[in-house]
Amino acid sequence: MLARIRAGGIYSTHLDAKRVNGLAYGQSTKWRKLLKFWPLYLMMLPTIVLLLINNYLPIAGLIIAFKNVNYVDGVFGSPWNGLNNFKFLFSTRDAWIITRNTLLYNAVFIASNIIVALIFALMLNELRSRWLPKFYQASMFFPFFLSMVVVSYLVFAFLSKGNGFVNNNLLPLFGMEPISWYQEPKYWPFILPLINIWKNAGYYTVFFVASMVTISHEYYEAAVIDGASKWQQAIRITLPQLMPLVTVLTLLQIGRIFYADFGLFYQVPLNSGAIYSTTNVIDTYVYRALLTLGDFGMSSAAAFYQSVVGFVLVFLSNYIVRKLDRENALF
Amino acid sequence: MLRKKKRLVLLVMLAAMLALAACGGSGGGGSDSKGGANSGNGGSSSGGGDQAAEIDASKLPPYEVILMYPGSPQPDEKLVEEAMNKILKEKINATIDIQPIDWGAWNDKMNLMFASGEKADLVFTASWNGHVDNVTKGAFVELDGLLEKYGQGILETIDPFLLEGARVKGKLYAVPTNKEIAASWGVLVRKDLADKYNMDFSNVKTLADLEPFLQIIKENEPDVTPLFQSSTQTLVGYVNGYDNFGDPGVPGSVKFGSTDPTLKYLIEEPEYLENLRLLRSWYLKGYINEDAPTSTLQANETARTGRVFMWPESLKPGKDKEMESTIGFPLTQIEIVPPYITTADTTNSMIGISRTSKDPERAMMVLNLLHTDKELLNLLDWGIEGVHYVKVPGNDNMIKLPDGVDPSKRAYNHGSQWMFGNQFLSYLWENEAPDKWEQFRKFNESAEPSLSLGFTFDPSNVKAELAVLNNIRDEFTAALETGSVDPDEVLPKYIEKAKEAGAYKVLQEKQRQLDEFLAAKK
Repeated sequence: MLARIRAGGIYSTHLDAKRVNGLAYGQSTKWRKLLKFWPLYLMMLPTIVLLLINNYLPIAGLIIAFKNVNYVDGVFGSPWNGLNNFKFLFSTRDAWIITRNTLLYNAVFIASNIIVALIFALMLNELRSRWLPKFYQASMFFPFFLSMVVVSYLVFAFLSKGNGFVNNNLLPLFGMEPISWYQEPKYWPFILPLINIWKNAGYYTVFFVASMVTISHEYYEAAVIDGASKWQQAIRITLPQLMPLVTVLTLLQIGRIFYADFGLFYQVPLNSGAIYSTTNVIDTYVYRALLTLGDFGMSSAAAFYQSVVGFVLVFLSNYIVRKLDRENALF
Repeated sequence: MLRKKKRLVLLVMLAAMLALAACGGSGGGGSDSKGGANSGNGGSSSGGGDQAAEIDASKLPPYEVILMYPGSPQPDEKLVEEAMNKILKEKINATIDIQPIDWGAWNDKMNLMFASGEKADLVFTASWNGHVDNVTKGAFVELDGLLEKYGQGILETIDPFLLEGARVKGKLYAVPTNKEIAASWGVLVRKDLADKYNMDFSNVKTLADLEPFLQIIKENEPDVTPLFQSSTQTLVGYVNGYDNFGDPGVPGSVKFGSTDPTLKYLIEEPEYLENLRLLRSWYLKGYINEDAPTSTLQANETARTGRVFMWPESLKPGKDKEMESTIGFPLTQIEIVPPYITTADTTNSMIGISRTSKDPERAMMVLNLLHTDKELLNLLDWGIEGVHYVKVPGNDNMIKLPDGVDPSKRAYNHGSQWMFGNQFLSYLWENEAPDKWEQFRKFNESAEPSLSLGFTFDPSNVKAELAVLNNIRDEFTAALETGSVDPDEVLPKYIEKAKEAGAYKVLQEKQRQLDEFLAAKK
């Protein structure tokens, strides 16, 4: 922003005369703008090229999902395969389970991450000490940087049947029998969201804390004068001010609702077959299906399916947000 | 808004055009290598040794052969390459570029190399590494013709069973390492503990015969797991006596030693259930580590801690001695399923010529030298004499580390010797049995070829079913085979689900291909 103002400043004096002309011609304003800000466009160019190469060029590769790829004919020369590559995703009674698991878990993750992060952020905001909020924030942020493989061993240390903390130290306190956590599907709908919150809430807290700093103090001062309590300030001022950010974060995550966190669903349950009914999601299913087959077409088909559904969901949810509150919509 | 959309459309079109242009380029590369493969085909019909071409190094243009294999890069690689180049330059005017790729990146790197047309000549491949799949995708040059012309040394030295087993639909796409051609199946046992309790393994014929030994360990050695299993290394999975054609994920197996070519679905066989019941009882008695169904540890990693008594392994002569050095305890092996030569064993280590090779003929010459030239092979295997190893005085075939070299800091120690050339030419280390290769020969001779040797299953018609079956298999096998769940309750569920997902369709397809293969063999 600053750069634009500066650059504009430099050239505005230089081009003042032309600007008057431009008004007369009308149509060519666009070109004149381009001329006027050419250094900025030049600075933009590498990023655009990068975006094209990284994000748009591979779109052409989507046709792999409909092909039976071989190396001799190459990606575009290989024979067409119709919708056969998609068959393995739907021709099983697990199709329902993996779709349900992916959608439900991700919905729970999105909601819980944002709610918990909001609560943390509100609490951090009320701390008077200078360094305590920093300390809490950093320690909450820390798990976000852990690899899922490390997390899976931490969880294993808790849940292992023979040596785990829960079975050896926690359950005996309540006089309960040890539980084979990795064999019992019913516990995992609670374990996985817990791990997810522990790992990700700190990350979103940082967003909200940063955003709270930008809220004008005048609101709070006015509220104090009107006799509003801390609780009322949080509910009536802070929360509404954070709403745009909440919507954007939610929308962005809904776009990826069909992509499950592979590490969380594969590493943490230790790939234990007995609990697939509550831990198998689209990503792990595809991984297991194609690990030994190594078929490009089928894996592209799965990715294609995921991105199309994600795309539709983003548009749908943005549409709904726009209906409710135009200001908050992403586009 | 509208304008924005137009611009977006333009962008997408531009992207598509660029992509098309890129593909045009790669298409050209593809037809190029096809030509190479065809020229190789030309010689395949002509038989007999008299067709072998004389190689005149001075007439060949210089060429660099790239050798790609999975393994970690070695600090002294350049030195070894230089030494190898001296020999190669003189004999076939070629140089070599060794390109080891870390195991973790190997599959991706290899797929990318084939797909992008990046130059490579000699590439490691194996049945467990997607060889058949890569052949169907056209990744490798057909070798029969090249072998006749430039691979006479290989044809003279290699066991014919190896070449027979390596064929895919009758054609050769990779040359196996000349090594043991069969595998027997059984368990490795800690010898010090066995001796302590005077165990005698000579009467062990079946899995059930192992129980008394496990019981002794359970009762007397509280810190030792009697039988270690993991999700990928189970007794029933290893020692079941069936040939699954290299991929346990595809239904359809033949019993070793049987002459009946009717495929059986292993999980429906009564003896499979028997074995599972046995393992279940062991699990309940505490003979098996409790975390077995979720463990991904290799047994030999765990054995190093000294807390394991017995674990399932694929065996060959001297396997116990070979493992001793990494594990650090004396070991002995118990063979339960005798050696059979299967497609999986003959194809578990091969080198193929990539379709992206610019000169497949020269690549074949290098491969031929690796099978015949003792000096060259040992350079690649162990490095330079006097630098990376020295000969044991008085024995030309035995080597040891030079004095003062720290065994953990060797500058050329890739551990991939089993991938290259003729293993019988490779030097032996001081601690190995001096007659190791002699034992290998005897083992090879004693092994019986499985009925279906050379048969490989082409999954293209049933890929969708297999993808679903892979998931079902993952869901049940580890839990069942480690004994952590009750087979009488869970196995029927497994069978029902697998049938529903089309297991029999796959089985019939496999049977059809096997029948065709056997008919063609006669």
